[in-house]
Amino acid sequence: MNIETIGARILAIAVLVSLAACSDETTPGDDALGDDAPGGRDTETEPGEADFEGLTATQLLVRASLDLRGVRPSVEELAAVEADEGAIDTLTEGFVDDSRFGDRMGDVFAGAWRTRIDSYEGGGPEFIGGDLPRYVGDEPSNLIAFIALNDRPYTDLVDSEYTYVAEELATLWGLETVAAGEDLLPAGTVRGRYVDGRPQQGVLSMNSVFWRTESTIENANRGRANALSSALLCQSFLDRPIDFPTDLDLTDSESIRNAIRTDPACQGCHSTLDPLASYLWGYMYPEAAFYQSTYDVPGELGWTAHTGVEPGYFGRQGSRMTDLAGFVAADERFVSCAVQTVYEGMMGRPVQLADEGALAEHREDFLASGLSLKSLVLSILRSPTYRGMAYEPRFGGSPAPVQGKVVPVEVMSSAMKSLTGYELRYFGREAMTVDFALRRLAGGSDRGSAYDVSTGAVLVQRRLAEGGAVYAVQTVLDGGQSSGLLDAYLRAVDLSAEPTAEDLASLVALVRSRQVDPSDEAVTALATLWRDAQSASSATDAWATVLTAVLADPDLLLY
Amino acid sequence: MFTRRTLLRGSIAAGGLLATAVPALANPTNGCRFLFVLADGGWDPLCIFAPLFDAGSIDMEEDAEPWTLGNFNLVDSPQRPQTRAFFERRHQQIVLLNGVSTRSVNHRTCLTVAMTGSTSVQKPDWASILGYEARGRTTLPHLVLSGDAFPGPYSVYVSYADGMLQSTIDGTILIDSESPVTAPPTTDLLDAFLLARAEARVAEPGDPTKLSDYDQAVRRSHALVKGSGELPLVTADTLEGQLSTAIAALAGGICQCVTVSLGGWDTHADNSQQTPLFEELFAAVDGALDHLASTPSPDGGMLSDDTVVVLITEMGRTPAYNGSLGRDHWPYTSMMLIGPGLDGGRSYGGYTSLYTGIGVGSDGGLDPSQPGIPSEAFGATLLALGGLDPARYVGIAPIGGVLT
Amino acid sequence: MDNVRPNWTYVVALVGTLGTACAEDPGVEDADDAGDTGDNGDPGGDPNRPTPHAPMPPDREEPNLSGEEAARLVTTGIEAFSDMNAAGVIQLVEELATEFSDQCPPPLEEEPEFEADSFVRWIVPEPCTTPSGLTISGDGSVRRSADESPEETLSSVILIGESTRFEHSDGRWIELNGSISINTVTGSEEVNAIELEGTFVGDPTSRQATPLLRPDVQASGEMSTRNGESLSLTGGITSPALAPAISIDFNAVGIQPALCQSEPSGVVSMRDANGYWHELRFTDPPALGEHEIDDPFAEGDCDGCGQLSVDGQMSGSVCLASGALEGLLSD
Repeated sequence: MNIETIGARILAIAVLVSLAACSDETTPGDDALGDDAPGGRDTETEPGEADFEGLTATQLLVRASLDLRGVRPSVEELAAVEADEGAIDTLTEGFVDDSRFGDRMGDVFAGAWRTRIDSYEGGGPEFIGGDLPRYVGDEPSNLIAFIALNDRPYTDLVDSEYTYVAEELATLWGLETVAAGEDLLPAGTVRGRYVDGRPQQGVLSMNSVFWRTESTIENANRGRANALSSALLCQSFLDRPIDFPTDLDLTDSESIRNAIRTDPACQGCHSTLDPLASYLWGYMYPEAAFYQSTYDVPGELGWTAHTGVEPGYFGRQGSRMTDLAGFVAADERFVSCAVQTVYEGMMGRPVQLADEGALAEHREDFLASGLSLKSLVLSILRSPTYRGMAYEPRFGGSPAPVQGKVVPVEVMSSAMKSLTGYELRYFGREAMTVDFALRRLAGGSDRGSAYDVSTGAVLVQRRLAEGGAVYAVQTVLDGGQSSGLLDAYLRAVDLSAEPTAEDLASLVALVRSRQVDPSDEAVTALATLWRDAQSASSATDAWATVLTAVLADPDLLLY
Repeated sequence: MFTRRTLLRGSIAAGGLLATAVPALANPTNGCRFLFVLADGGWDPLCIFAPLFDAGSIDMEEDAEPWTLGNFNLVDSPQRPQTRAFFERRHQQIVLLNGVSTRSVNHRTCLTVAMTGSTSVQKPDWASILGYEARGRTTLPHLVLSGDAFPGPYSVYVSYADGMLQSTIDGTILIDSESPVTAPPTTDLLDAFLLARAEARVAEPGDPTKLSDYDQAVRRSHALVKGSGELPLVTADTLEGQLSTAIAALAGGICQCVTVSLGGWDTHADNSQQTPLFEELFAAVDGALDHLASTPSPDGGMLSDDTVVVLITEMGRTPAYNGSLGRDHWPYTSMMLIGPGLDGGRSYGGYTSLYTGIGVGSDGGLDPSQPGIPSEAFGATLLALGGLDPARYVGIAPIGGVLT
Repeated sequence: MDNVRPNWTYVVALVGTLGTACAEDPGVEDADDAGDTGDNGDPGGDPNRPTPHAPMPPDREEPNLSGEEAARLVTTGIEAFSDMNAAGVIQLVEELATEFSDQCPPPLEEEPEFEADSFVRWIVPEPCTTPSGLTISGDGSVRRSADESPEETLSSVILIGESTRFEHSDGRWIELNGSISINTVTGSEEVNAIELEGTFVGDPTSRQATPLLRPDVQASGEMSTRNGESLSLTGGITSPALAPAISIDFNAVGIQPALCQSEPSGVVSMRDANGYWHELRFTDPPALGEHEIDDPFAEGDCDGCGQLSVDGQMSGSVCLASGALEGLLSD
């Protein structure tokens, strides 16, 4: 008998056991791995894969809304699509003009920049707790959000003379704030400009990027150069291991320096990595105990003293950060990397060889639009792959349809918040943004969200659901008002009485984005739950229980 | 201020809390459990494992001396009495792997190589593979109390406790937050409802892997919640505390592998900081080995009968001191195994006079034609100890002679 | 894998695209290809061929510092460094430190082991506020000492601040992330030496007297004068006062009128607003030139001129104005 089946039976009768008790009926390692072994994995159950014929219009609405706005669709949007499936494209394509679209794009790229970490202790004590670490970590994402919101060309990422940060951080860093005019700003930010003489080149000018990846005189900015290469070009010099030449005396530093300059095995990376690193000496503060918020303009010449390697970009000469920005913006890999990053973010999986043709198609749309992220997103949104269907791109390949994916941590957080108005906070920080609290447990990290379901994510969803449900109900009972969509719903029902079938059907539509008939099984089950909970406790608790049940539903984790 | 310490709540679990609640199993196919101890940042083998006093280009510590103990050639220092005591007491149990190659000088890359045998973060690490293969027996197959992990495709089987795992499991996270809320006393009703919903959802069309994972995750999370009063999965600031929790988790049968870590080894600024770290490490591991020996295993006998302790690090440190008497990154290092199934009391592999690695032949002897012990062989050894066929995951055999 | 069916036309075309993108001139296309696809980048061409990413190169900004300006900036830079008034930073900190209370900053656990005429130390991991309204955070110290002998008096003051912020309810505030060291010798010799490292920012009022506290000003390095007869400077300064340059770096710059009145020694590098570096390399004075046998510029002249290079390219000789160095040693 399958161990999971046994486990389900045991849990169904709510017996206190751990799954360890079941192991006498399993034979570990017996399962055959899939074709991709090693590193492959088995499927524990066999859901109805063959039945999947692509997303319904409603499912597409949910997916697009979560991906592009970070919230579930409204009841009105749901009804509009249910009434006319043909409305789906117009509706979903409008999401790129939503004010929340920028934040979502920032989230999609955040894993590339890896700046969203728990603390920046090197910035000083004030960057350990509170909101400041998040403000620092959001800097690259905020620029991407600005680019997306204002439909600026993606090259602004390395060309922008402004940065967008929380006002508190702008003040701490001594930035000059600049009026934004008609431009749309990412939520909670001001437009700022560094006034310390640094070149104004978007992410290449950001404190956050160089606080995140430190360097030393000995390392000569190489790690930073690789971080830039990884984020901007999707090319990491560290993707292949270093096989040190066997005839090299690794105990002799001069021998190593010489090898870096002359040994073919070393030059394979260092001939391009080191010149890239030489652009970054203005961010080197060897004597300082803490990260500096100011750029060291004379430090730009540090390469002359420490490595002797002139700044350059993969064989092209150009001494200035501005030159670097120009090289990046003109690099084919810069475009392809953006396409790949957005594609992975929207598809909820890493790209595979079979995706190459589809990537090329989206790249065409991206280029034709003048590198508009909105256009790129629309291109992906329109693709059969995103809609869960197989197709053959004109450039070849056969991308795997996205039949289901796991909600990213940021989206789980924002979707819950939009429904309930509840935010789980600890020590002045939102728990879902901090690894030491809930982010890592829920499947997130500075590298972005995991593409796979984790046990932790289910646990976190359950607690957020409980917290949100109780908060939403209690707020109404206390006569307050929450920002969540459930607030209006709860005001319209009688919290001291049993919900009607219509009430529950509305709840399912609002939270799970499924339009169901009041006689539907899902409604019946919720009604039973309410009555059981009321019997066990009270009407108020029964409402909180029912709300928890819909908020903890798999529909809010898989979409 | 938001620090790790302020987040820690509750006491560290005593060993075997769940052990009495879980029926003892005698399953000879289970393979070993694993307790991974990660020296995060790269320890310095020249302090303990690599007595290269005769190599002119290598800086040894001023007060260090060669030390022969049984079959081991080690480094001794009066600054490290606890380390000395550990080896004196445990050397017959120890398998020491010298000259392990992690093929880079970048922390992340070296860690990936050491823990997965590859440079791809998409590949699962050894602990996650071992946990995955034991998924039918354990609720949290690979529990990470601190440090890094590379779950690869096995995310659903890897759980991190360095955040608020325990308070999320037991629900106190809601009560202790800035806006405290108390969940209604209807947990069992909700559990039953959500399990039914999960079952229904899994039956709907969709991505089979995602649905399968979801099915697994829901049932594992419910099992955890049900058992939350038995074993607080609370990590700790100290290695000793982490190890205590780890052993309790192993004894409870909720995990096959636990990873704990001790940070601070990246001693660029002052390599003398290695000494207190080694002292803390070996004192804590010594205590943990005692603890394992006195803690019943869920499979019968004691945990020391079926648990392998793995001391792992991502890199070594340069043979010469830098300008601040620190040492930088080095691509060869040492690792250590202690536990059942091992031919203990000796070292495998070694270092050349230039401090590069020397590999191991099939008989366990030195093989100078091999530039160190490949991390894949290290992993293959662990997989074999776990009762698995290493060939399913790595294209290399276990290190010759290590396994009994 | 069965589901991977690469379109080799696409693959070949993409390789061609990448090759084009990597070429020096993205507009130049292989003649054979051109016959097949029409204009490079034309999306209306072969639909099986990806469009190359070939953006128009941006207008390249040129270096925007003339030789004359570069020459003038040598003295402007030295004067700007001299005018930083680092002593004013220390003075402000000492003024604020008079308001320290028994509990803020917290008492030190250990007394310093060295002797000093005065020593103020603060270690404040969590901000505290004195009864007078001074809020303190971070670590740091100010140490004054003097060593007197019959021949001379050596005075020293050292300020160190690590993530320090003082904020007074009267509006004064200062942030310290670095160190300032000022040493003076009086007596048989008169020496003034200052060493700066890190960043310092203060309130707008304080900035007026102490440019070092401006957020758009940074200075680091060492500068010393001896008996009003010589000056040496190694370090960098970034300041609006240097316009049209953004920043100047001094590498072993020396002024010794006794050896040469019209020309300093060393290398002065100026960064213009467009990001280019202009390097003005002077020869050592004749008496010292013998040491620089490997230096192609070390002819040991004293003609007031240096060799200018812009972005690594030699640009010719540039001469300081007559008497430009006069007055730099008068303070």
